[in-house]
Amino acid sequence: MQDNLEKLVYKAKEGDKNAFGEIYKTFVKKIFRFIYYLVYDRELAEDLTQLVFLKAYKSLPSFLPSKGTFQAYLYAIARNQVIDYQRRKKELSLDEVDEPAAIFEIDNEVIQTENKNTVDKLLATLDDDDKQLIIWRYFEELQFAEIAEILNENEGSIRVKMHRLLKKLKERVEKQV
Amino acid sequence: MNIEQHLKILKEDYQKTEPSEKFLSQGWQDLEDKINRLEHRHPNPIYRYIRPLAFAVLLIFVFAGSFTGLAQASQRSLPGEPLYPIKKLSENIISTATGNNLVKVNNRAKEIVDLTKKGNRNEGNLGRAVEEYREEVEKVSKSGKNTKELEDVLESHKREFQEVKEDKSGSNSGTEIDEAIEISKSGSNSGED
Repeated sequence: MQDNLEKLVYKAKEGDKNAFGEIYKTFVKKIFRFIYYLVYDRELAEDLTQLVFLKAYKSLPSFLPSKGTFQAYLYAIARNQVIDYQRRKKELSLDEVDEPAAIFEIDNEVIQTENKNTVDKLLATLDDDDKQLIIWRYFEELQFAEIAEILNENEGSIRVKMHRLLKKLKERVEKQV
Repeated sequence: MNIEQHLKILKEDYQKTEPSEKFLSQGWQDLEDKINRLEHRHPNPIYRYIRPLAFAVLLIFVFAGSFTGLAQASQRSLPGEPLYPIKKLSENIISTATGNNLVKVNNRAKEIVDLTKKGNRNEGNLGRAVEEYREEVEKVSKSGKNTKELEDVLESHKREFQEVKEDKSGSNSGTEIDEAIEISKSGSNSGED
């Protein structure tokens, strides 16, 4: 699987769009899920997912396999894409523009209906940074080293953060029980 | 149940989250169209290098322009002034490019005239300018090139030096200007040898 991915990445870097199509199909659900749980809007998550892959394609020449995995590269782009979106959203709400505010209200309704399952309940209580750590480590089963690559931090500090986060979650779950 | 087991159960829920059917069936097609449009807009891969290249050229022009401006401003500077090293650097570039040291001879002569007019003797700048004037005259003279031009230049320097000496006759104009006059005379004579 990893060898095959490396070959596809190599071909895509050479401009082979079919190879990039295979990469897209491999990762599209993962990237969508990751974005969805940060923005809680299916349509928006789909649009941002497309942007992530478009950016990934455009900056493929700068991707170096020696510096990290392709998965980490994609997640890093996705994370930045969500941060950019949230920043723009904040700027718009500060400008008090009416139309986008109406859209956000609809989003909130979607969140409420979709928030019924347990995974939503848990993730909704976390801030974005903690949420990302849980998703990567426990839901997508990324290695600590890979998470460190995405966040451009060292592996040790990711382990410490994860340890603290689990402790915090444990306390919350015990309270609920 | 510990927290890790709890998260494992939630993982199943998480992985059930999927984009819409429409997105899954058309997503790649849409993206490929976008990529094609993007590549169509910039069909030549050289395009991506044009902007950085244009920026680099602009930067070179700005630096060259700044240096030229600075070099021009420095032409009026005298020994001991902040821009003087730039003046020396630019005259070195000119003399290397043209293979002609007369620019240095002319600059030193102007400096001797200006320093004498200023009466600026106490810092030793005038003495050094005269010394350098001698060296540059000797260099051009020994090279055997531009002999006729050198003679004309030194003749005009001699007149300028004498005029300054007369203007400053009441004040303490010193021996440097006499020395400069002697150099301009000897230099022009050496050309006649």
